[in-house]
Amino acid sequence: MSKLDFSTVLAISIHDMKNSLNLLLGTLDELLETEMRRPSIEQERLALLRYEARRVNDTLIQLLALYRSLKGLYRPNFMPVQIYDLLEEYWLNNKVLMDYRGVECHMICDPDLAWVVDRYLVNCLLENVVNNTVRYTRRRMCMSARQSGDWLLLQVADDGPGFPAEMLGRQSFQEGAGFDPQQGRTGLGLYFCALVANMHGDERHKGFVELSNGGVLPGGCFTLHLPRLLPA
Amino acid sequence: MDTTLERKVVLIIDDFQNMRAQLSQMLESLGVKRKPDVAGTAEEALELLRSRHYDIVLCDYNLGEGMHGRHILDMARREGWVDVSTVFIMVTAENSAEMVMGALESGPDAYLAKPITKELLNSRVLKGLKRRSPMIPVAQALRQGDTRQALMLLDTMLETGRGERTDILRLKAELALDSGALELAEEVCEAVIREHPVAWAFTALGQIATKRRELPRAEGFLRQAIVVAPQYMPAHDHLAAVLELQGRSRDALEVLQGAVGRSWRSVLRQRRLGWIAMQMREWALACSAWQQVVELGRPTAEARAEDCFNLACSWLEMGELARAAGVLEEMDEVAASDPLLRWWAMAGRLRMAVHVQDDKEPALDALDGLMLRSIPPAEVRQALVDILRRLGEVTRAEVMRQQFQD
Repeated sequence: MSKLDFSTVLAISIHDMKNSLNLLLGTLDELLETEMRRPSIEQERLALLRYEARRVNDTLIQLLALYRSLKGLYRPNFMPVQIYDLLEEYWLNNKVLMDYRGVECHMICDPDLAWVVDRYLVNCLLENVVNNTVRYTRRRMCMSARQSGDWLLLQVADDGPGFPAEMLGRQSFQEGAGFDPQQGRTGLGLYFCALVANMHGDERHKGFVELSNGGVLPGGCFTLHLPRLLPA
Repeated sequence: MDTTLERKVVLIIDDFQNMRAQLSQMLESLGVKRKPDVAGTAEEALELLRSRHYDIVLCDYNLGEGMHGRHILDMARREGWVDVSTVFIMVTAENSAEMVMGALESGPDAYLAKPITKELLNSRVLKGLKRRSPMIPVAQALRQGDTRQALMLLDTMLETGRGERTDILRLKAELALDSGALELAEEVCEAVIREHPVAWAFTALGQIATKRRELPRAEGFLRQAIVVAPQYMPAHDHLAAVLELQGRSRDALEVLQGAVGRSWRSVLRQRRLGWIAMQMREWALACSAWQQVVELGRPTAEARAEDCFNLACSWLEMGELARAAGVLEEMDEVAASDPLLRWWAMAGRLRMAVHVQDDKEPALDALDGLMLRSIPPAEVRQALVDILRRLGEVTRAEVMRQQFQD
């Protein structure tokens, strides 16, 4: 290897760590499934472990994506993606945890709906949003996507307590809003989502992220708005 | 439990032993009865794919040692080891930007990003099988070389509504094109485009026009394909070929450079670029293209001695003697199984002698020795004639040229 820059080192390390996390998460899923068949107080702790492991996983991906994008090393790859598959992936990847928490997930999306997106970036975004929603919802969550004119609206809604008032509305990625390490909340996740949305766009329209309460379900609702793009 | 998976023959390709075990275990819990075959390296994978037909292949995208799942898939499809009835699922460490989704060209049926869950694996495998299973009889006919039977089966499927319509039409167009039934292929593509403009159909029309020697028309179709889906690489490759046929090497070079910029992990594309770059005397570009051919082709034994020779020649044109010598030294290892190895090694030594005069006489002696034992193969002759001329051995060159003229 001739050019070993930091991005490469980071990518290799993350690749490595993700292999380990993959095994960790797989094993946790198995344990959780076994535990669910008998009443045990360990379940809650396992579920928490799983949530945290997934968070580490998500943060690693974000870190890499952010680093690459800030250094101008990431070249987005816009192409048509089957949105149903994209959503289903996050539903099924979190199904064990959902089943454990007794969360019912609904998907509302035309199986033929395709949209030009950067799959990698939108995946990273969903990973983040879904993991959080599964944690904070009560009984139900709903993942939906539909086309509205020249925009794709992708929503993840829950019946949890909803977002605090100060977080509502359109999310800007310029100001470092919401960074509050004291609260254990760095806001990195939301910043990342807004950045991903913003990267989807042309001179006229840019994608954006909006938080609201009380949509299809009474709790919080995350909406990603993406304009129609040409494949590039 | 669902019995769909019970009798499926599965191959798992991953360089990480724990991952192989985990996937294997997941499949077992999903109902796969026969223990999956496993491969830890590209070589093992290709060996297994060659030796038997798999229903399902799970392949890690990043196999280490410069070997990528994409490369295995391309090669296996080209050789027919992975056919229209095989479900091929790519496993990736991250939701990589290099993923090109399955609906397109020769991509996999699905990508699975780690961490993988049983539920998602199940859903993707079943979805793949649902799409691929109706194609099993077609694949069997094709394995026996019976294109007519395959086409008949596809027509029956269209009539009865079995299988995915777009897949069937696409395969029908491909088979018609390959067997020279240009009218039929054209008819299918035009019908598809009327419903929905897709890149593969425009590309096929471009290929049909090329076969009919209607080159400007072919160029038009291929450019349309690229507008519809810029990431559809076959359109770029065919466009470059059409431009070359029109004698527009400079344009072809540009198209290939763009294509390599999008998707560089293709030995064939890099080799084409190498040839045109040499022809245009763009030596830096030629060096990088041949370097890629050698590196990418090495693990799969696709790299040839001639590729090393071309790389060495390009380095020499850049004045990089030491690098050229290094490439020639490695030729034995890179292209160990190439039957033309000793001839290209000979050509390489003579080409070096153009710059290293001391070795000129010994190299010529070696050539004579080699020619006493065998005739220079057709592929190497022109290169040898050119080099002999450059060495000032005009008579030898002329003898070589005339002696072996067909």
